[in-house]
Amino acid sequence: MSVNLASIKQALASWAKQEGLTLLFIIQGLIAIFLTLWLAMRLELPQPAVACITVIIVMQPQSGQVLVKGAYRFLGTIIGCVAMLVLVALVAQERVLFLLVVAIWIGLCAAGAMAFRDYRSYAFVLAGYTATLIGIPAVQNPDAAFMMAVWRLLEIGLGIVCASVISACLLPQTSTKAMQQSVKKRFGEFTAFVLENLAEPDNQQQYEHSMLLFATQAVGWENLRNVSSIEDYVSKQRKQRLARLNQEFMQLTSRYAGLHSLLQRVRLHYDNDITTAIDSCLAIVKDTIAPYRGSSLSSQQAKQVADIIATKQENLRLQIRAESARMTVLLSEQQKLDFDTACELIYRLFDEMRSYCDTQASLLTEQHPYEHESTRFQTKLNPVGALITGLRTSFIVLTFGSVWIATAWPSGNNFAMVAIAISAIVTTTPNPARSARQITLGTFIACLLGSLVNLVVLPQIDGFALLCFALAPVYVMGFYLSTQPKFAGYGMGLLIFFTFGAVPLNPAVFDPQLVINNYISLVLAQAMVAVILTVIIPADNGYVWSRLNKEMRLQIPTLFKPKQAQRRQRFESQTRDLLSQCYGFAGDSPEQYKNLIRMSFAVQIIGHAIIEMEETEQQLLSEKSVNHDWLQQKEILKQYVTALFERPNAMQQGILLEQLATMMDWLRPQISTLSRFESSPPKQLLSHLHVIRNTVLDSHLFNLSSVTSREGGNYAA
Amino acid sequence: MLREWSLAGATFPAITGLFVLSLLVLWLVDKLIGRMGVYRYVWHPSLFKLCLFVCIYSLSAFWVYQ
Repeated sequence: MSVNLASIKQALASWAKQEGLTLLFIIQGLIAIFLTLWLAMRLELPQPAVACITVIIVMQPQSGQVLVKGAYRFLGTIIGCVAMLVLVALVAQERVLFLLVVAIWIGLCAAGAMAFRDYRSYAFVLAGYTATLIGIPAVQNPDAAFMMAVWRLLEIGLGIVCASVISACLLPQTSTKAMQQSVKKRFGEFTAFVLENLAEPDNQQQYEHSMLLFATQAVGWENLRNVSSIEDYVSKQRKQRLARLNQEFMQLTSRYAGLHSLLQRVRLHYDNDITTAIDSCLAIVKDTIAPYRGSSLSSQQAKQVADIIATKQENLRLQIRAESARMTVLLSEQQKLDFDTACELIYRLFDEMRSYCDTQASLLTEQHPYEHESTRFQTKLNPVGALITGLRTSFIVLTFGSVWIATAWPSGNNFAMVAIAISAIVTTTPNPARSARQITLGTFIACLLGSLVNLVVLPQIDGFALLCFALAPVYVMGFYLSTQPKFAGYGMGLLIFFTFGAVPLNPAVFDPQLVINNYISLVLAQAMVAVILTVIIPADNGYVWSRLNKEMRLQIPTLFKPKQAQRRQRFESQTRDLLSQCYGFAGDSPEQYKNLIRMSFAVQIIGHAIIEMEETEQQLLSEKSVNHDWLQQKEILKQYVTALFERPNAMQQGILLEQLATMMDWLRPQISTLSRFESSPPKQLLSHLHVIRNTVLDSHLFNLSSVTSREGGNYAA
Repeated sequence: MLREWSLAGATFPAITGLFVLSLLVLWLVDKLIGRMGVYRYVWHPSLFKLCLFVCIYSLSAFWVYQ
């Protein structure tokens, strides 16, 4: 009996974690929509549908997201309103000129939304969306523009307030809770990944997949951290520490990437001797972290783990020394370098794990010295992507506007309005073309259901309660679909456009012709947007990919720029951000994406080595024991690295490798065989150079055969 | 206190403006009691904040509609 009870409890718990949350979201959504609808009717707003559509756009499973989105959307709405009133006042008499100006405004908004991919993008999206919503009807009767703007502002505001209140107060799923859970799970996930990868080093696919997941998680985390610190005081007090934790996690994964690529090479080229030596050092790390594999770690436990790692670090150091002494006779110069570098990486990886756990343990208290340090996650602006999005949106506005003017179609205003609004909304989704296609199909279903409800059901019923019952089935279905990542677009289209047609005006009007005309224009507009996004100017074209690749490579030359505050943080966060930018359309061109991933690993490894090389150098500078020749050599190295990463070609690669060899030859005599790694800067410098050399040697990296010819042509032109 | 405010000739109800002002007051109060650590003893912080807002807003509305 007790066994049965326990299993039922477990089943209930797992239900509550998945389906339960979906059900809760659907209930929250329904209550928010009907509350908004009732208030809109009670307050006699002319278009309750606009308020309900706002609820649908704002509603998210996590309450923090709703609050932040809502606040930024309201800001965007006000900006859009003001901009449109100014435009209407200036150029409403001339429809063509008006369209041109609107196209520029909406293009700017779309570009802005694309450039700032965090919560700020909502403000841009809504600034564009509201502008269309007000501007296009206003151009037909400019006298009413001001009142219309006020009504839309009130309707959108009402929707945002209702959605926020319901989502934050009715059994809220707070972002803080999500954040805490993800903090707990993260170290376990990383240890599981490390152990699996060490056990099965050749499973490259699994490795790339996990590293990619960590990179996108790092970017998502940053968003979650911002949102939850706005939502909740507990997270706000820990904001800087959480940023630090994320930063250290990114460093951990970069470090592991370096170790992984070195181990791959060592296993490929050398015999058993050196691998057994490395493995015996790795074994200490493995044994230490094995108990935490995949487990969740509270902040108290993290403190213990940090202490355990700290004691084991000494063992590792001794083990490395012992193996190193044993290896001295057996290994050649080259092998010794590989061995030293591997040991250095293992030791640092272990140390960074300790420091990560230490930071996680610091979350326990309200006050902590770490909180006063500033760590910033810097995103990488993608000006070309933003420009393309902006131009594409402007193009859509102009095309649809011209069709409307040329055909003088009575529903043309709707046609243009919906097309513009949708192209603004899909801008921020990872894969705009796919979202637009899904929304189109959703809209089609919405048309059928909306016409049915509006023309057949609504005339039969009386009163608000029955209206809710008539609308609820479709809303339940729509909200359910929107919680499923694969079908989110269908759900969105269904919800928005069902509301558009089925929620009655205030006072209600029965006009079948209007409803059917509107729906025809909706479906047509949707389909055309989907076609434009898929065929004419897709977001994932080859040019964008080569741009992103180049941006990723340019991360290395940027490292050399003088006087950078928080250089390391910027480097770590921007490489992740770049990678996650194209995650959305990775599925459409997997080969391109694979190249980018490979490049990003190399950039991370080389960047790390360069940063650490300069840290060692700084240390030497402060001890005033740096050699003048070295500084000169390093200047040359910088130039060559910059040249290679700006324009990869075989010749530059050769020059750089030669320079690296020169520097390594110069360093070797400076190293006494007796000195230990941690107390011998030349030895450390040598190992950093070695890491750089190994990575640059990878000929697949720059895709030299193809890149040289194509990009060479570009630069020549 | 006037029941309607005029903004460049367009009149709007005073309680609209008070809504925004109340939000500002709420923000300040929230910061203050957050720093005092009140939220440690609160069961449902967002509900608490909502109620706080209703209190502030209603008080300010009494000021207009005495």
